[in-house]
Parts: sequence; structure tokens; C-alpha cells
Amino acid sequence: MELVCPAGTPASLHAAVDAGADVVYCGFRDATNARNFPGLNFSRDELRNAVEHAHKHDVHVYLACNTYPQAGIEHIWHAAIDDAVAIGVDAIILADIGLLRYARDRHPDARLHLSVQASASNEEAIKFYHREFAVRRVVLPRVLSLEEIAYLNSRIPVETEVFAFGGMCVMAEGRCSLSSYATGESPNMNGVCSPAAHVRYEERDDMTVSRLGDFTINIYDQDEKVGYPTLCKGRFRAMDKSGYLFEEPTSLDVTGMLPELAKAGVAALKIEGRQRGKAYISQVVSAFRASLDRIAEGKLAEQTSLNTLSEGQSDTTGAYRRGWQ
Amino acid sequence: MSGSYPSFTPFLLASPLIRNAPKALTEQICRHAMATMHRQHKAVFERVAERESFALLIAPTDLDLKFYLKIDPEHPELRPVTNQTPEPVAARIFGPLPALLELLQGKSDGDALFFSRTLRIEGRTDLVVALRNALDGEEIDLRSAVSNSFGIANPVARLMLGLAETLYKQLQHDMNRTAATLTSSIEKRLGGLEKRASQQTEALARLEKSVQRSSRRTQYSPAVSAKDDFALPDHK
Amino acid sequence: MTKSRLIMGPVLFHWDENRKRDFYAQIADETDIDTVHVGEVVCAKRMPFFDKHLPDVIERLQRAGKEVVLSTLALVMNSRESALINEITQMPDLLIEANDISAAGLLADRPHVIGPYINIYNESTFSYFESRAAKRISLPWELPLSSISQLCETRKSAEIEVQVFGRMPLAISARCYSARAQGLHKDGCRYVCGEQLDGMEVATLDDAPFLAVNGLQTLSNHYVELSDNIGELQDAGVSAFRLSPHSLDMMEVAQLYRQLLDRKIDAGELRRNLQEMPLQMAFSDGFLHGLPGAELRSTLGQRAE
Repeated sequence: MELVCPAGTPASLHAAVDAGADVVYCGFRDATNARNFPGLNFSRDELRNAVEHAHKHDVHVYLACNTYPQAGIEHIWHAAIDDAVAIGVDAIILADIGLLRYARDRHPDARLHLSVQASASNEEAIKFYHREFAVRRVVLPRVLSLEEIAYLNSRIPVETEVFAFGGMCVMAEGRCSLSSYATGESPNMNGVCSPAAHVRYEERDDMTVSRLGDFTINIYDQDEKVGYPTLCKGRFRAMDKSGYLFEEPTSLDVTGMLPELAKAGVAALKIEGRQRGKAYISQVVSAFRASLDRIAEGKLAEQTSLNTLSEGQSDTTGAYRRGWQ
Repeated sequence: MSGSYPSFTPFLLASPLIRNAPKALTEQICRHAMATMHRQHKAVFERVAERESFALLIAPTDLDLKFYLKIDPEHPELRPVTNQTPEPVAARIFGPLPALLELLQGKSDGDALFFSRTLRIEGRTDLVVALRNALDGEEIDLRSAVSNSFGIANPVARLMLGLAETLYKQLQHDMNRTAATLTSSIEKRLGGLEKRASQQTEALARLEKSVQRSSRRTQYSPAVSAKDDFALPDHK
Repeated sequence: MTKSRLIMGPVLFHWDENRKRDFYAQIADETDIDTVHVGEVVCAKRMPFFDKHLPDVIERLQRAGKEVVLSTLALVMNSRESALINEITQMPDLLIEANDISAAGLLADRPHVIGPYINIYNESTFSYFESRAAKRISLPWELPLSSISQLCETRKSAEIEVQVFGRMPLAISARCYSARAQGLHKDGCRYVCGEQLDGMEVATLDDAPFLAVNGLQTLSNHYVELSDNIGELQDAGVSAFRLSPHSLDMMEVAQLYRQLLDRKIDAGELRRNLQEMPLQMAFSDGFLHGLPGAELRSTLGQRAE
């Protein structure tokens, strides 16, 4: 299985290449990608240098252009696609149907991947994107179980890529407006979820209160491990109870099920975290490289210890195990 | 206010020294450090101040001193601040100096530090995130930066720094042990912060060992589950 | 100006069969509603409860002169659900609403409706679906007026629809939160989502109303209410207006919006009447104005803040 690793900066890309990535994915420094965070991402020149560096080491580079263009300013996204093709990236990751059509018409030879933000969670949807826009690979939404993934792979004419490590959406990706409901900015339109500009921390007696926009997302004491106040990972009240209604602040880690994923026919593993530092990239990528190499040698993957890099510092296999639902 | 408890690191011991150092000297060192930083890593300032220039208060919790940091592509500024002259800043960062320095060099993951709550941020979180992202995008080697910028004969300076680092680590180790015996009686927060800081430094070592720890899957933090009425038993 | 179409959206909640049958019977007798959606959007597990009544319900509504639209699932996750979508989209002589790309692909090149769960944010995507014979396109809740206006300018043939009343679907998941809130898994959910007619109230730890959970779906706690901007939407070119069913008297709600669309009452009067109805509702219109979706800009006589 191909190891697809994130890079938010040129330094992270170098770290990923050094640590054994097969592919590094990144985005331009604007609203065209789903990690449009301040201080992050690549200028055109930076991407050009990055591709040159990666190719020198036999590593591929994918460009994520996976937000939904806003009406009236689609040309910004078109320019991103044109420039990525000119720079020579190995694939472009897209979600919007208008953009897929543009890329297919203008650059018939470009390799197109379907972003997780398109939330293609079933056979018919995947076949549609293949038929209409000749996508070669689909990044599967994090709502599918291992069995469902294996079944899909037996039925579709394209490669699948699944998330292996990092922050996990509990909602179907690209179908979620929770962030914009609280802050006005969403993954689909702005490339951000629960953006830092709307996060506030308040001290209240011995407790810390994290707020997003006008809403309290969590309240915790000094010893408690909590993650970034992403809306769906907060504590709420319902039915006279309170707690993590949607999801505990956990992080996805499939290390323990790598052989099963390989058997299910998955072509590539994706590590989440273009917003994370190069230290994170180095550690996670090295660990996965080692595990994958061991599997290639016929040995089972040993458990790695990446816990301190996880949100809230515990991990889960998420929807891959049906019990999660 | 989170800045009111000191972190238990060796810098705490140096604190009286630093506090009593002539203000002019501290200011000069800061100015020099910023000029060097600006010269060698101009990209950081451009990346982070792309949208706006802003100021931050850096408050090492193990130093009796705070710093004013102005992020501007052309005229950045770093200087010590005294409590008598509070200045408007966009955000304040609190944390033990070792964690802050690791962050500066991109050695630690900012998110991981933040998740484990070694660092605390008040105010414009997005600007601190932007700074962290921009710093992470550069290869910043503090050791060579320090020795280069002070023009000391390089090999000697490196040796000295190396010695100082070893000494520092030993000191940190001893203080961790002291802290461990003291935390039962001292302020919970003081111990908690230090405990997490040292956990952080052990992370890499643990990673290398790659120990098979089957207990990891079951050792749920009771603090969390106790406050989560929605957790399902066989969730995993 | 052509007459605006008033649409009763699909019932999103797991109402029991009698309540649903009564609801559709009332609609058949209600002259103010032009189009009515039937069918399950949120959870395939609920479908067997009402499927047996669907033929009768559809027939009665059609006999009453209503345009009937069969809505389909918003999240299709396994082979069984895929098969369901295949089966439904092959039904002849019935207008079907696609809420997932799977259905949109299968319905291409015959008249159909593109539902608000399909991501349409820009002209190119809008034109794509129009070119595949979408007769009506219901826009996502998140779109601001500026985008809606742009899409209206792009429009060639498809009607453009916007939801003007009811809680807004914000997210959908493989996980069932109604079940989870009661200590149950999705596989053994006991259909607890049916216990709340308008969804399970979700508040922040500071007790501020925030969201509403409906099984796999998470909705806004606030009810979108766009009466103050209906004139602008009509002027821009929006011709279909969706009401999302709730437990209050939806016939009365429909009458109010019909009168507003025909400019017989103003938004203030509509809002006052809504507030007197026996269901506690906080309103919002933030998305339309490019603000956080929970915010309310058109306070209609009340003081802001």
C-alpha cells in the first residue's frame, strides 16, 4: 500500500520525504484547499521546488484542490488546477463536480483523484465519478466499515485510498455545516473547520472553557487531556446527560489493522495533518513506513506508540469497526 | 490567570539571575536575537504577517520575565516587558521555556504540545497558530544560531553549548524527581504541567522502543470517561 | 413574475405511521401547497415502517393535484442501501429527488430533482446538473444570498429552490446519536429517534440551545426563517420555497408563507403569527447573510442582541 503523507510547509514535505513517504500531498496558500490555515501551505514557487525535490527522491506529489469554489470566483480554483498541471504534480485531488469537469476538459491527461470531501461512500457514487470524470482513485469517507470497503473494492474500477492516522471527522466529510453554523466558515466554502480565529479560551474558577464563536464547546479541569475545540469533538448536554455526544477527542490509528486493509484491496493509506508540524510528520511517517515494510516482509505490524501526537491522546479505529456506529 | 504559577524546570533556578540582570543587557540580547532571526529566516515573518502585523506576549512560566514579540515583515521586535508597562497584544502564550524553545525550532509538534496542554494560549489563537505554522516551515537551529550570532569561535562555542545541554538535561531529570516527590503536597497544577512537559520529552524515546503495550488500548483516562455520559462500553 | 411554488419538504423525523398518514391527508386537502415530498432521507432502517403506505399516500396526493416528489437517502453507505437507491430510481412516472451522488447519477437524463444535500456551490456545478435534466435544484442551506443570486443568473431551465422554514440539516454520520445518547448502538437502536417529534435538543454545557439530533442527522437548534428576504429571493430568480415539516400545524405555516409569497401579508405579520404557535422556536437567517448560520439578522421588530 502506498503511503500518502501530509505537508503544510516545504519543511514538512522534506521531513515526509526523509521519513519514507511514497507520496506527499499539499495545497496552495489560499481557499482552494481544505486546510486553509494561517501561515500554512505552498506558494507556486514553493510547490515547484517541492515537486523537484520529491521527484529527485522518487516521491510523488499530489495537490489538494478540494474545497467547493464559491459562485463568481471559480477562476481562482481553475488557476490552481492549471498551475498544478504546469508544475507537474502527479495527481490533483478534487471534490467539486464543476471543477472535475473543468480539469477533465482542460487537462485530459491529468490524473484526477476524488477527495474525501466529495463523500463518495458507495458503489454507484464512485462509478459516477469514474464514468463522468475518469477519476482514477477515490479517497473514501470515514463512515465505512472494513467489510464495506472490501466489498466496494470488489465492485469498482478505481483505486481506493483510506485514512490511516490523524484527526477524524465523525460526520460524512463534505456534508457538514456545523462549523459554519457556529462561525460562518466551513470546510466546503472556506477550507477550514472550527477555525482558530473563532476559538477562545476562558478561565473559569479552576476550569478552562473553550468556546467556538458564541458557543461553549468544552469545559475541563487542569488535569484533563482535551483536544482542539473542533465542534463535533466537544461536550454537550442532551437527555439530561452531558458528555461527548458525537465523538470523544480521539484520533484515528489503523496501525493494528494494516494487514486487513491490505487484504481489503486498499491501494493507499492517507495520513491526516497538513496543519501539524514537521516533528509530527517525521514521527508518524517513520512509524507507518516501518509497519508497512514489516508487512511487505510478511510480518505483522507491531503496535507503534504515537499516542502523544493524538488529539486528546487516545486513539480509535473509528468507523472501520462496525461497533463504532 | 495561568501565568501565575512557575513551571518546575531548571530555568526556574536561573530566574533570579535573569531577573536581576541589567535591563539594558537583556534588551540588547533580545534585539540581537531578533535581528539575527529576521536576517536568517525572513520567510517566517512574511508567511505569518501575510495578512496582518501583530504583537504577542510570550510568558515563559519558568522565568520571572515576559517578552513582547512584534511580528512584522520589515520591523519585527523582541524585548522584555515589565509588569509596569502592559502593552496591547493580540495573544499571550504561556509555557515552560524548554517547550517554547522546542516549538521555535520545530522539534515539538505544536498541536501535540497544545493537546497535552503544556502550552496555553489566550487571545487570538489563530495568530499563534499562524506563527507556529510559519516557524515550523523553517529549519531553525538554535544552537548554531546562538553560537554564530555571538561570534564565538565556533567549535568551542558548540562544545560549551553541548556541555550546557547535557548539564541541563541532568538538572531537568533531577528536578523531575524532586517534583514527583513534591507534587503530592504542592499545587496540583504545578506538578501537572511539569509532568506533561516531561512526558512530552519521553515521547520520542518511547517511539523508538516501539514497545508492544497491550494495556494501551484499555487504559482509558478515568477523568474523561467519568465526565462522559455518552461513552458506550464496547465502543472500540 | 410566475407564481412561486410552495413545497412541503420530506418529513425528516421518525414520526409514527399514523401521524405521517394524517399529515399527508391534511396536505391533500390544503390548497396552498403545490408540491409535497415523501420518502425517507435520514435512515434506511426507518423505511419499512412507512413504505407500505407510500403507494396510497402518493396516489391520494396526486389525485388532489399535488406534484409528488419521492426523496431519497442523504447518505448511502452499503450494498443494501445502494440496491435500494437503484430500485427507487428505476420507478417510472414519479419525480425523484437525489440527495446523494449515487441517485443523481442514476437519474441523469430524465427529469428529476437535485436535493439540498448535493453540494452545489457554483455556476459550473449548477450547469452540470441542469445539463443532466435536473428539473429543479434545491440549494444547500449554507449558501449566502450572493451565491444564490449568481446561480440564478446562470440558470437556463431548472427551477431554483430554497428552504425558508424549519431546522437546517447540518451534518450526517454513520453513527446514530439518538441511539448513542440513550446508551445504544445503531444496530440495536430500538428506534429511539422516534421519541422526539422535532429532534433531540442538544445544548452547550452552559445550557445554550445549540443543535438538534435526529438519528444519523444533526440539525440546527434554530429554525431557519427567511420571510424577511423572500422578496429578494423572488427577485433574484428563486421560484420554489421549501418548508421543512415540524410538529406544529404545518398547514397554518403553509398558509402564512403562501400569503407572504403572494405579497398579501408582510414578513413581520408572518413572524408574529409563527411566534404565537405552540412550539418554542428560535429563528435564524445567518447563512443567507454570510454570517454564522445560528445568527439572526432580520429581527423583525425585536431588538437585536
